[in-house]
Amino acid sequence: MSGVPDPARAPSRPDLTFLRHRSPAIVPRPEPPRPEPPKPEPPKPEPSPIAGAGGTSLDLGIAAPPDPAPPPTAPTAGRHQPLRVRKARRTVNGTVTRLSATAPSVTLNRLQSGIGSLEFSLSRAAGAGELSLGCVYQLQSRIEGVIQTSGATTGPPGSPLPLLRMKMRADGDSVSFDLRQITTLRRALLYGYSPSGAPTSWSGTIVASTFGGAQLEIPLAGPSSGGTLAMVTIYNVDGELVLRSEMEQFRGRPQRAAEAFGFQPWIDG
Amino acid sequence: MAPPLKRGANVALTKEIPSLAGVVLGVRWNAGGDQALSDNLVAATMLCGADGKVLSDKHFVFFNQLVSPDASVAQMNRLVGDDKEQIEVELRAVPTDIERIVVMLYINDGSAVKRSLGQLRSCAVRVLNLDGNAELVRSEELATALSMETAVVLGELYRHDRDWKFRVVGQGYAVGLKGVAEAYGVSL
Repeated sequence: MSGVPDPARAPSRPDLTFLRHRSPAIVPRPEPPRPEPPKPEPPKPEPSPIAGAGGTSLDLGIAAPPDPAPPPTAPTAGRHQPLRVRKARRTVNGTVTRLSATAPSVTLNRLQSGIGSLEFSLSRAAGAGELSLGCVYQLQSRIEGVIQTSGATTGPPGSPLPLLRMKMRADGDSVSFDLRQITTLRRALLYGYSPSGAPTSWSGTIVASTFGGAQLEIPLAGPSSGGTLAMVTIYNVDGELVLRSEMEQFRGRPQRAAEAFGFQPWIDG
Repeated sequence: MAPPLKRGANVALTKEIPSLAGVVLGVRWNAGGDQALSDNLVAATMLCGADGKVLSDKHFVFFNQLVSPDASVAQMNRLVGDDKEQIEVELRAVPTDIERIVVMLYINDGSAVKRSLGQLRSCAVRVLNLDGNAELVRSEELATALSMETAVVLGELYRHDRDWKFRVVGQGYAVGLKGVAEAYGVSL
């Protein structure tokens, strides 16, 4: 492969800010013996989630999908390190799992995802202004629905024992999933919106805990606005719930946020 | 058919039937017409070591984790007969570090409704031959001893020398699944 510049001998580029923190020199490894291509390496645990720190991994600071594909093999193994895929982050006994921009997701195991209920509550300082919760969801059947403070408060419609329930309390609304029925859920998006449309500060935290007591905290983030904040996505991946802090703002009604995340527009109740 | 096996009593399986390769644990209950109760009843099977604790959280077989890691214990979706839940156990495939296979029932606390096992009209566990589904043993009625409990250990398969036996337990836990989890070392 001639003509490819060698990073170890490249001139420094002080004009490019993202290259200021240079990774250590890459020493090309000797070509592996042919004819068999080397076996894919198992995924290594990522030492630091901070983007730009070390290695040649494609580290964008976003957690890898829970089922990492094996890294690419063979002819380029001499020039490049294999893709380092981060293991799914899990809760740790006795500690609070905080989801933020640098470490946005966590995977609950099958017991945490299937026992009791999972209730996402909005915890906010008194006088912080109005903030309503909603949740758009998709079932394994691909049927979609919405529950919201102003609107249907249980879902799917017509269920005597609903999968999703909104609870409106003076100290903060919450969205609760009945985990006995979690196998019917494919994915969901928890969001907040300003009920009057007036700008509201997105201050506060979404808190949740598993049946076994693992605590989750998802601080809200973003400048004040009168629109919608997509807060947390919940994906059912092979029986394990993957929760991800999104904190993405949208102007206008929650429908726009739902569409951006691939949910079909719904008819307002 | 043998008379129902009482709480605390046990019976030899592989000693009586040397060709027994596997069994089906069948759990049955009658919740009357109470949909909220029957929809929230969950059968679970715990694979425990010599210390009586589960080997790991993957050794808790229930609707969201249908097969044990070694594939020797699996909860079925298609049932034979009128059990509400059936769990297949390939006795010869059970790893040697698993000494007990404990089958239990609990009420999932996930919705606004609260129920207890005393509201069941009946509840029992039985063991079938995996090959041919002949019933080998059935427990006595276990619901009569239950009231405010929300979890009950129904029975267990256990090793005795080189054989497998089955014992009826019928032990309720007022603290529910958390009590069972603590007793059997399940980290929820």
